[in-house]
Amino acid sequence: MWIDYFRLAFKTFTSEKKRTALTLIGIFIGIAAVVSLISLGQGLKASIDQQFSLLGTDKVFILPGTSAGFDPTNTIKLTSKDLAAVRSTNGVKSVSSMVFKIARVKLSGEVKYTFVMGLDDSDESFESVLESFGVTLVEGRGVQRNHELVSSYRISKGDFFKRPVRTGENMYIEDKKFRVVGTVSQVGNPQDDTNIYISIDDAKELFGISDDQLDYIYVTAKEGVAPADLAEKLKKVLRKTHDVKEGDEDFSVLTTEDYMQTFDIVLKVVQIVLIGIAAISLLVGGVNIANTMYTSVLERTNEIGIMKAIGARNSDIFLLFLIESGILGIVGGIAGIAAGIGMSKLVAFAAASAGWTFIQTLFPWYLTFGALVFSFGVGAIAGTLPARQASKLRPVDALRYE
Amino acid sequence: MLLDYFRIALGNLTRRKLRSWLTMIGIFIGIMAVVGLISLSQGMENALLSEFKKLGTNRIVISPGGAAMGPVGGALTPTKFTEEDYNTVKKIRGIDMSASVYSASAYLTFGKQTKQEMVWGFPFDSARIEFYKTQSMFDIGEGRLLRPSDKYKAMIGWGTANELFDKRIKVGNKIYINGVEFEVVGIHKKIGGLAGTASDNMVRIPKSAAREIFNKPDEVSAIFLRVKDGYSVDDVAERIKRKLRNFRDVKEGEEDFSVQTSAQVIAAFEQILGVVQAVLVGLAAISLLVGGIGIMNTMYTSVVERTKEIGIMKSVGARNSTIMIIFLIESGLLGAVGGAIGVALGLGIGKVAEVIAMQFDITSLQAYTGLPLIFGALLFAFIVGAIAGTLPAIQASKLHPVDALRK
Repeated sequence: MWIDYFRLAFKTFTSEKKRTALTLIGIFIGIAAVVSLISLGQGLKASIDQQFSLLGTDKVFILPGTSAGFDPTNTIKLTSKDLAAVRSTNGVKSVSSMVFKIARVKLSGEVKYTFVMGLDDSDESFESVLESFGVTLVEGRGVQRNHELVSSYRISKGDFFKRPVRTGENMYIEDKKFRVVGTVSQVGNPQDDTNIYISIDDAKELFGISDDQLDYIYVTAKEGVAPADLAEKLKKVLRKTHDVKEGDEDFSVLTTEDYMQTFDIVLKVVQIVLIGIAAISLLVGGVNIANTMYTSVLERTNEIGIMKAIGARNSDIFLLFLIESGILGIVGGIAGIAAGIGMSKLVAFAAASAGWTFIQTLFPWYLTFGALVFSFGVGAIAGTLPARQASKLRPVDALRYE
Repeated sequence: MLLDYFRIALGNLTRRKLRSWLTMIGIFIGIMAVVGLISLSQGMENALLSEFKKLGTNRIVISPGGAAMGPVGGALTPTKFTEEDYNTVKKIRGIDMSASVYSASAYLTFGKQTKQEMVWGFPFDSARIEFYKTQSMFDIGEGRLLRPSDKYKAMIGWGTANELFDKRIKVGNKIYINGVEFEVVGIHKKIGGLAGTASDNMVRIPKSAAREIFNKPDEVSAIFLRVKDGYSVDDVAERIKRKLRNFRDVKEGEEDFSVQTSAQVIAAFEQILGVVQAVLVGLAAISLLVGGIGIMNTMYTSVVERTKEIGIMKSVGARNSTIMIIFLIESGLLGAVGGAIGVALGLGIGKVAEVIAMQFDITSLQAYTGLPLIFGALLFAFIVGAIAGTLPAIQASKLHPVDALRK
C-alpha cells in the first residue's frame, strides 16, 4: 500500500524530469545557504568558547568604558587607584594590568606597525599572564628582564615581516632594542597573531604612559570564591573609586562567563539576521513546490478521476500528493545539505589561508537532521493545499475534465 | 503586432491565474527583500555622506602613527608631533586654513562628581574663530564660542553638558579639568555624532590653557587643514607627505604619521558599508534566483501545455522568432509584475524600519526611495523573468509544426 504511493510519486517525477529537477533546485539552493551559514556560525561559536576556556573560569576582567572588548576610540582609562582598590579587595588572589599601543617595530631594516602589549607580571609569572590573554607560550620563555619581548604566531612564521623571527634575535620597538625570548601559540585571527608582548614597565617608559592610564585589569579569584560574587564586589569597589552610582558605571567588570555570553549574543544576532535573509529563499522554494504540485494536480485530473472511480478514498489521493511534495522537499534538502557542507568547508578554507583559522565549520547531528526535517516540512506544507484540492475533486467532474 | 504578442501572453497568464500568482510571489518575495535592504543601507550611506560633506570635502587631517587610522589612531600610537611638525607643513602651497590641536583624556569635576572626558585644546584667534563659525561641529546651542581673550573658559559638547553628570551643566557653571577651574561659556548643539567624525562628549578649551594644565608645552595631537579652492586636495596631501618625511627623516612606506583627506575617510566608510551591503543583498538575492527558477518551471509547463497551440500558430505562418517573443514576453511579464509588487512592498518595509528606528531616536536610518532603485529593481525583475524564460521559449520556438499538431 505505502510502497504503491511512493511508486506512483516516483513515476510522476520520472515522467516530468525537467519540472522535478527545477523544483528540487529551488529547495536545494535555500537549504544549502542556510546549512552553510549555520555550520559556520556554530563553528565560530565553538572556536570562541574554546578560546575562553583557555582563560580559565576563575578570572574577572575589568575594562574601562562600557562596551566589552577593546574600543579604540575609548579615552577613559583605569587608574593606579583602581588597581590598588582591586588588589585589596577580599577574595582576590592575584591582579595583573595591561597597557597597549600601536607601535613602530623594526626587524633588519623593515618597518611595520602592530599592537604592543605591556603586561604586569608582579603577582604571577609572565607565562600565566599570557594565558589570561588566551595565548600560551610555545617556544622560549616569558619576559623576565627589561627589553625582552615575546612574539606571536604570524611574526615567528614569517607572515608579518619578510622573514621569520627567531628566539634570541633583536628587534626594535620605537627605536629601542628588544631581544626576542619566546613565541606564543596561534589565536587564529590575523590581528591578534601579530601582537608583541613586553613588560608593563618597558611599555610605560617606551610609550610615555602614566600609572593612571591602564587599559585593562584582570583578577584571579581565590580558591572557593565564586567569580560572579567577586565581580559584584569589585563593581562596588570601583563604583566608589570612580564616584558613580549603580547604572552609571564607566567601566565593565566581566567574568569569563559574562565575556563569553557577550560574544555569544552578538554572534547570535548576526546569525539570526543572516540566516533569516537566506531563509527567504526557502520560502520561495516552498512556493515553487506548491506551484509544481498544483500543476501536477491539474494535469492528472483525469487520473484522479479514474482512481476515485475504482474506489480510492479522498485520504488516499491526499496522501499520494502529500508524499510527492514531501519527497520533493526532502530530496532537495539532502542535496542542499551536501552542498551546504561543501560550501562552508570552502569558506573556512579560504578564511584559514588568509590567517583566520578561527573560522571553523561544525556539523552537529541536529543540524543535518533538522535541515532534513525542515526541508520535508517545507515540501509537505507547500503540498497540503494542492493535495487537498486533488482529494476533493468529484470523480465525475474529474473524469470529464480535459 | 507587438500589442498582439502582449495580448496573447496576458491571456495565457490570466487563464492560469493560480500558477501565475504563485510564480510571481516567488519573484516578489525576492525583490521585496533586496529592495528593502538596499533602501535601508543606501539610506544609511547617504546619511553618513551628508554628515561628512557637512564637515567639508577639502579637509586634510594629519595625525601621528603610521597605521592609517586617522584621528582615532592618534590615541593608540606612542608617536608624537610637536609644533615644529606643524610649522613644517602649514606653509605648504595650497593650504588655506590650518590648526594644530592638543587633546588628552582628563578628569572633569562638576559638583561632587569626577569623570573622565576628552579635552581638546584648539587655537582661538580671530581668523580661526571665523573659520570655526562655518563648521557644524562648532555649532553653539547655548552661550557663545570661545574668544581670543579667553583663557580658563570652555565650550562643552551636548552630551557632556546633559548626560555625563547627574546634574546638567549650564552656561556660566564652573567645571574643573584636572583640578583647574574653568568657566563654561558655550554648549554645542547635539550632533548625534558618528564614530570617528565628531562627538557630543568632549570639552574644548584654548590651546594655551591645555598646554598649561597638561604640562605639554610642545606636543601636538593632530593637525587639521583646509585646502584652498582651486588646489587639488590629493596634490596637497602628497606635498605634505613629502615634506613631513623629509622633516621626520623617514623613508617612503615607513611613515610614522598619516595624512588623510576627507575623500579617503569617506572612501573607507563607504568600503565598510559596501561589504555589509554586498553580504546582505547577496543573501537576499539567492531568493531571487530561486524565484527565477520558479519562472522557468512555469514557462516549461506552459510550453508543454500549449504545444498544440504553437503548432497551429506555426502552421498558419508564425515564425520561430514570433513564438519565441510571445513566450519571452510572458516570462518577462511574470518577472516585471512580480517585481513591481516587490518594489512597492520593499520600499514599504524600508519606511516601516525607518519609522521604528525613529522611535528609538536613530535618525541616521533613513529609507532611500530614489528612482534608480525603483527602476533598477523593476528592470532587474524583468531581466530575471526574461532570462528564466529563454530556454523554455527556445524550446517552444524550435517545435516542429507537424509534431506539435499531432500531440
